[in-house]
Amino acid sequence: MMDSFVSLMHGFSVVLVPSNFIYMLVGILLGVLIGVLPGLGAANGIAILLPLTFGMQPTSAIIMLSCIYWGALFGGAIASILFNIPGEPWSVATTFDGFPLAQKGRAGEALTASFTSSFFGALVAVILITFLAPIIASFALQFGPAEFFSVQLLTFCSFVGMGKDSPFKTIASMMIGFALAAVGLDTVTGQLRMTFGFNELLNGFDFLVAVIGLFGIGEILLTMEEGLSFKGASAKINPLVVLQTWKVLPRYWATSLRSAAIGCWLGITPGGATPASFMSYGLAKRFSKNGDKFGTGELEGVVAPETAAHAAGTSALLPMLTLGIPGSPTAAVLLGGLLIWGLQPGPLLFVEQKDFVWGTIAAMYVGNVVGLVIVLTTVPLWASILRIPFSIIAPVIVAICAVGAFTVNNAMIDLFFMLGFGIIGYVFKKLNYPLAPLVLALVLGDKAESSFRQAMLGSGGSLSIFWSNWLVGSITALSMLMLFWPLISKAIGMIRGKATPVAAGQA
Amino acid sequence: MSDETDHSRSLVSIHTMEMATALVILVFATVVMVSNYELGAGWDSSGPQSGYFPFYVGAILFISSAGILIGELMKRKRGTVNAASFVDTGPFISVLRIFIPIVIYIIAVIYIGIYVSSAVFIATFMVWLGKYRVVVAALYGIGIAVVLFLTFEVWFLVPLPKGPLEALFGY
Repeated sequence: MMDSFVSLMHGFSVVLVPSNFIYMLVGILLGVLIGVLPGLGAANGIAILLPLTFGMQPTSAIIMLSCIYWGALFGGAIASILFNIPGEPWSVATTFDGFPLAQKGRAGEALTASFTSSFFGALVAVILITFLAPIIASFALQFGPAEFFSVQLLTFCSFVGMGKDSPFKTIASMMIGFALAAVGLDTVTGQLRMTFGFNELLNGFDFLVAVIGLFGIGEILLTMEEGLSFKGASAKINPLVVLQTWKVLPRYWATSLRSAAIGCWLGITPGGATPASFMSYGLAKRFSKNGDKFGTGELEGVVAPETAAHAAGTSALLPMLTLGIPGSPTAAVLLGGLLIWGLQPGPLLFVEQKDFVWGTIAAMYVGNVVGLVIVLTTVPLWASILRIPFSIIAPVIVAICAVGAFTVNNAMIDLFFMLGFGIIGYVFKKLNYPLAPLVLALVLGDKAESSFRQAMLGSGGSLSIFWSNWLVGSITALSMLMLFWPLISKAIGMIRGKATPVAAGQA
Repeated sequence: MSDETDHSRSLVSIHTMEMATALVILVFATVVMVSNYELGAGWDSSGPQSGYFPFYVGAILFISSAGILIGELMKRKRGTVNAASFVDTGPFISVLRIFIPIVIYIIAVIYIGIYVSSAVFIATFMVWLGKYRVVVAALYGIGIAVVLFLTFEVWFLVPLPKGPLEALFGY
């Protein structure tokens, strides 16, 4: 405990250097902008900006990029509440009660509640990271290749077990990611894989290009299809409304705590912010005294999803920092950033790169405080940006995506890959194939493969290595439980269904 | 755009699209498996061969896409097919309205560089779909291209694709 505290103080001294503080402000402003604009999300926004940070100090770079993330989490709520357009997938649940409130002329209250609960959710998650991360990291220092692979296995199996999409689709999406990650030069043997004679494929598919295509271009295509027209409620926040809302908010302490817990849990396991927001909205509706009024403009209905989304988004960085396994697509992009800056993600970061790790964690505290102040004071500005017609925003976002995709490797072919991933993103989104497993597999593919190979090499090709001691054995067993969870829960449902035939009809 | 959605027909059903997507993935999985099998998916003196890991990735992909296909076929048998529309003609035309310009834009980037292409792309789009006046659209397009240019070439020193116009200015 004490160690974490001392390290954290050191982290604050890293963040509060003027240059880093400015990067933080820039990051938050860019982040809110990204969060507000449809078609530009945290994952692809950071992917686009990542190449610009190649020359920066890693600590400054992660401060700026992670603050983009916080900004985007705040910004997503603005579009949801004022325009009924979720700027980010995790703010869909915020529209349920946020927009009705705005229509009643209570937009200020809704926004204040949403920002404040976002802040609270993040704060809980950051405190969790501060004290849990060093423990997990020191624990993970003892991991060998078999343990690392089994943790990665657990990550991927969790997608199957915890996702609400079809398990086959989740696995397919994941395996496409792994397959694409394997394209190109095999670094172990020096052989070429799946290049089919095309030199362009030598370097394989860059996950940044994939993220920009899947989330950026894919989202633009979807938005065009829906034919958005922006009709927004007016956005005025004055200090009085803020104070009045703050007076009311403590009433929802139970919802806040529950949502923060759901968020942290789904953020660390790769459930992600989006399911977390829906889940906590659902639970809040069930447990609240005013549950039946949800959907008509209950403040509590804004508090629940926002707290959970922000807690999940933040705690997704815990496994990324400690194990090198990202809990969300955005965390995956940040992880890719670490590799590009020459840092090896994983538990050793906590030993070798103290400045970086604690600077990042301290930036979470400061960034969220600053972010809260910024969004509370600048809402009208962002609302006016949302009034810019889509016929201007769409081509500009496409151009920005193109620039971002090109700068990753300075390769023209990446623009075509981006377009291809855009089509995949569009079709997959419409058919409910989850995109996060694809991105994570693409990022982790090489690492997962090399730890799998090393583990197999150690055991002479026998899979029994993944059951060789209690640690790796229990992680593997948990993975299998997650993998087959859809089947298990179905079986449980059938048994229960037999016991109570009334309930069977609901399946 | 919204006025077209009202009286447009379904272009393709979700069921058809599910089948088609699963089939494409199935073919992709087969390609992955075959190509890695040829490369060597077994063991040699140095341990697992190059194709070892990706071969099994392909195999699992094959199984899961086959699972999706079988699921859809079973729905057909049971008569619970999701016949809802994947996309209607009207919205699909809206999608093409941006997709085709993007394709042209990317090809243009190769020949005339990213700045000129972006300016033309943004301005054209604004005039065509946004019904802006040409002058306004041109100002926006050129303005954004100039901001991009200053940001990347001058400020961050990241070179982007350039064409004849930039060459004229000595870049």
